[in-house]
Order: sequence, then C-alpha cells, then structure tokens
Amino acid sequence: MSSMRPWPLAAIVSLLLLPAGLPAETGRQDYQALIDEYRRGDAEAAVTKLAAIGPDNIDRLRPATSVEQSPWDWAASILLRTEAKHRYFYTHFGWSFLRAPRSQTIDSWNRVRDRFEGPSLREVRALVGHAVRTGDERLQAYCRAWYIAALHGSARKFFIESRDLFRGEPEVLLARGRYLEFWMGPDPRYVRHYSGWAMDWGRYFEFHLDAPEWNEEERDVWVAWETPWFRTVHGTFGTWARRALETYREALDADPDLTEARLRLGRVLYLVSRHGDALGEFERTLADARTRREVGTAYLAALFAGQLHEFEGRTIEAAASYRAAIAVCPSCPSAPVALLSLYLASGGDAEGWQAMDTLLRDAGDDGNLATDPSATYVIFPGSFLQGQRYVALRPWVRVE
Amino acid sequence: MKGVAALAVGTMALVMPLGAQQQGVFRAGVEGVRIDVIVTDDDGPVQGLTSPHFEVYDAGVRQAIESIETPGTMALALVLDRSASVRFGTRVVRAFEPDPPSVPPGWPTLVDYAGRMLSLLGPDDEAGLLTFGGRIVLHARATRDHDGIRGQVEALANTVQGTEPFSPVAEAVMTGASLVANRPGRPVVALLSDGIDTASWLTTATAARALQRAGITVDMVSVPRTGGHSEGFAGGPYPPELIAEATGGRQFEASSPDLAEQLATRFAELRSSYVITYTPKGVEEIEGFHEVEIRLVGVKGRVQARPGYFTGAGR
Repeated sequence: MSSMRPWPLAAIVSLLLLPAGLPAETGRQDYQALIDEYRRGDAEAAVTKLAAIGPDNIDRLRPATSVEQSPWDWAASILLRTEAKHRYFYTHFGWSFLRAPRSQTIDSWNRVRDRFEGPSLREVRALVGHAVRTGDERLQAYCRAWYIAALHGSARKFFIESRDLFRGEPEVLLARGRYLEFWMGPDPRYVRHYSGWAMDWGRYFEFHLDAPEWNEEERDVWVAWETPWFRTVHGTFGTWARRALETYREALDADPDLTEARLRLGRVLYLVSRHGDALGEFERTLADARTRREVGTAYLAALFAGQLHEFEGRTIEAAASYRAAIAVCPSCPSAPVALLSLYLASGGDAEGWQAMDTLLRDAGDDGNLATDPSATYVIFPGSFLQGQRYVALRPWVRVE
Repeated sequence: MKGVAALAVGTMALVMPLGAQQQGVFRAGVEGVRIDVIVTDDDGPVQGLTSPHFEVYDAGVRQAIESIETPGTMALALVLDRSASVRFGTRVVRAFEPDPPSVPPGWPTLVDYAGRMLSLLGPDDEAGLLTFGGRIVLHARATRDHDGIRGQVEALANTVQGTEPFSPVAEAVMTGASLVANRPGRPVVALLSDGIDTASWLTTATAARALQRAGITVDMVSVPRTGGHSEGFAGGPYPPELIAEATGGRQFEASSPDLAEQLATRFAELRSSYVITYTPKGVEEIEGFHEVEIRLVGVKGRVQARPGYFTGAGR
C-alpha cells in the first residue's frame, strides 16, 4: 500500500486553493448520527441508510461539527458517501427511475455521482487543507488512500482530479489503463449483441459480430462497413490496445503486486491474440491473488484462463481453470455455466449438470447467486474490486 | 453486500492448488442423443405413436431408435427477467434517443404470465423458479408445490428494490435448464424477458448450442425491447429468441391477445411429446452441427423437434 507516501507539493497547493466552504443546511444531526453509526456501530447499516436517502437529498447533508473540531468524522463522511453511492448504484438504482420517468437518462448516472460525490470532494479538500495545516500525517495518508480508492469508480471529473493529484502512481496508471481497455470495445470473438450502457460504448452498439455462422471474411466486411475505425493501421483495436498494454506494464513496473493490472494486462494480451503471453499473466495473477486473498481477481484470472484454453481447444485445461474459478467463488455463476457449456459440448453432461447443482447449493438462504465479477469487468470502465476497495478503508475511520 | 459476502466464501479456496481441482470426464464421441418430438395435426397432439411410426436421420444417416417414451408430464423452469429494462421500460434504456417512443414496463405482464403458466400445470408436472437482474436468484427448485411457487411469483410482483444494471439472459437460461435437466417429464425452460442481455459471460450462440446438445427446450415469452438506435441494436443477429428456435422451442409475444390459449395449447403439446433416444452410428465424427431429421411413417402430422445438435467446443 502506497498510502504513507508524502503528498506531492503541487497537489497540496492546488487543493488549498480550491474553495472548501460548506453552507449550513438542515439535517446535520441526522447525518451526524449516521456518521457515528458508521464509525462506532453497524457500518453496513449506515451505508444502506444513506444510500436509501437517494441522490436528491444527499448533498444537503453535512457533518455536525467543523473539520477543525472532528476531522475524522469528516474523514468518515467522505468514505460513507462514496460507499453509499456505490451501494445506490448496485441495489437502489431503480428508485429514481420510478420517480422521474422521462428525465432520467443514462446521463443521470453522472448526476447521481455528482450528488453523492460532490460533497465528498468539497469535504476532502477541506480535510486535506486541515491535515496539511496541522501536520497530521495520518490524516494526509488517509485522504490519499481515499482519493486513490475512489478514483477507480467515480465520475470523470473526479477521476481527472485524482489523476492530476497522483499522476504516475501505479493505481492511477491502473485506472487509466482500464479506460483505455474499455475504449478498445468488445472482444470481437465473443461480443454480445448488446454490450454496454456507458456513453463511450455508444459507438460499439452497432456491432453485429455474434453471428452463429461466423467467419473471418464476413467479419472484415462488417467491421469495415460499420466501424471503420475498428481496423486501423495500428491493428484491430486501434491504438487503444497498445496504449493499454503500455500503461498496465508501467503500473506493474512501479508496483509488481498490483494484481488487477496484471490480470488486465493478460486480458488485453489475449484480445490481441498473444495467447502465450496472456496465459503467463493469468497464471501469475492467479498465484499472486491467491496469496493476497483477492477473490475477485483470482476468480477472473481463472475464468479468463479457462476461456483461453477453451478457445485453443484444450478442454481438460479449460475445465481445470473453470473449476479453479468455482473453487474461488462458489456462488459466481459465469464459471459453472461456462463449465456446463464445455461439458455439454464434450459429452460430459452429468459432470456439467453436477457443477450447476453445486452452484445452486451454494446460493445463500435467500437464493442469491453473486453478481459475477466478469459482468462488471465487461460493462463498466470502473473496477470490479470497487466495493472491496471502499470496505478496506473502513478501519481508518472506525472507533472500536 | 451479498456479492462481497459470496466472494468471501471462496477465500479459503484461494489456497487450493490448480492441479488439485477435479478435471471431470470428457468423451471423444457422441453417446446417446435425446430428441424430444411433438407430433400434431389439425386436431392437436397426435398420441399413441410407437417406434415404427418414426424414422430418425442423423446427418442424413438413418439411425436405430433405442427407445421411445411419452413422459406425459413436464418439468418447467420459469426464468423471469427483472432487470432494469423490463422493470422500468422506456425510462432506462432509450435514453440516448431524443424522443424515445413510449414503451411501458414489461414487468407486470411477465409476472402475470408466469402465474398463468403455473395455473396450466397438471398435478404431476414440476416447476422451478428463478429470477435474474443484477443477480440470478433461485426461488424454488423443481417441485410439484405449484401454489408455493405461485405465492413467490405474486410476492415478486410487488417488489421494487433489487434491480441492478445487469441482465445475464443466457446465463439465467442455462441456470434454469439445470433446474429441470434431470427431472421427470419433458424439460422446458420458459424465459420471460425482453431479451436484452448485458451481462452474460456466455454468448447467446454458445448457450443455444449447449442447450440444443442437451435436448432442453426453451420457450420465450417476450415483451417489447426498450433500447436502441435501430432494430439491430437490441436484437443483433443472435438474440435470445434464437435459443428458442435452436432448441425446438416457441416464441410468444406477451402482447398477443390470445396468449393464454396459445400457452395452454403449447403445454398440452409438451406433455404429449415423445422422447426418442439413439446412439449415432455411421455418422462421421466431426466437431460441428449434426442435423437431425425426424420423419413420420404411416401417420399424417407435423413434427416439432430441435433441428440437430452440436458436438465439439461451442465457444
């Protein structure tokens, strides 16, 4: 963790120049009670309650005391808001659409982010100013860790601010690489007909590459007709793939333990058909992620390796990789479904259905399977580890 | 936080070496092939047929029928789409368009037809239920307790929370198939959905091939799609409807005024279907599609069956 490094002087100066004023609003005591619950009681419940308030009212809530009086309440506030935004997106996202039928567009996702994170940005700037003025190194380190964690799943302007503050650092490079990878577009070998929600993917919506009777000649016609930028002098993915590879390698040079960067490096290598190199990265990612107990990363490394083996026709190895993924996350559906498909194609029906039976047995009492990390990986340019990044920051602000 | 908790469950498995994982059994050739066949004439299902009434051709080569059964019952997996595009209609996915046409939420219609399907089941039929949105949720494994499942469907009608911006149609269909794959009766997955798949790792083409190979029928009740710049946007060249086509299933429009009657007819056909099994002989062992043709002998009628099966890797 690089959180104890000193802040760049330019970052501190730029933050101190930013306005940090917070107008007095109602609801402070209620919000303070949530902060107290988050710091001293049931943090999960506090996140859920704040998410339930929704974006229309959340930006009016403030800590009850000034940053000088209780800086760690402010520190908790910025994390609580960020966690609540994440929770809102993943579990309460539908409510706002019910209330505002026509005005709610995909652009409003940015509005939601702004409502949740706008106050966080204002508060963290004030917090950094206070930490610098008082020489509170722990508080500075926390703010840095929060910035870096939050830049992985936030609005563009937030990303830009974090990037500019910590330019060149491994986590920032990882986030930049993720956007470059996202802009590569979908994998032409497996692309679904409908592959994303974000505006950046609008240009990819017309891809029709999922035809059952696929062949290279046909693909070339479609690609040339519908997406002329798709095949360029730089290769299938234009310059995005090359730049993503360079960025991930730069991140790994700076921090070889950044397993998500290695996973994504492997994925991009796979997409540009460098399968041998990709497999090496997946295997190392799996080993490293197991050691570091990073479940989502280990799961995806095994899933991606399985897909690669399957594409290469190595059925036994593909099945072993899918089973490794299942062992890491027993309630994630994509690996057992991929294993079922592999077995059905290979005449091992009983083994395939057994894998699915095990998956359903591992569903919780409420029957919920996990949201598969692969879905987040493909659809969003944010990190599939985002929720865990936030939760990992809680000990900074907890009072046990 | 269920997802995080679920991920945490697997933490202990992180220490397991890859080589220690079970690898399973793969077979070089195709063993038994199961073909579910419906025979109808103008009066409805034709019943009482036996082996001499059928001829089976695999890749053009006539096969010896090993068994023919009429299960008389069905095992139905209801797979209900509760993703954002179904729950909130126009208001989510047509956002890119300056003046999106009004498409109402399809959720109430789908829930209604899930209930109607349950009411069409006979006492010996089994039904299971799962929903999918952000997550695939198993509500009930295959059971004859139809009232219990109906109660769960009715409870779903009134829920609002839980919608997430993911819609793994193909994975949900495969999971639904696992509920009925080895149950008594004709295995059928009923997909009630707008067909917009945003989150499956498996492609719809791969899912179709796998289920075709497994001999599981997928019927689809669809509501209008709400997203897209063009007709091709949401459907593409291989929309989920083609899973139905590939598996010998049927597609129904939820807006059809006589859908209830269509479903009743369909269920009667499914219950009266024949299960023909054979082991391919004299057929070249190739990886790819094997066309299967079922011909009637001495009987007039129309045959409904999946068009064949795939062997080899499907991805």
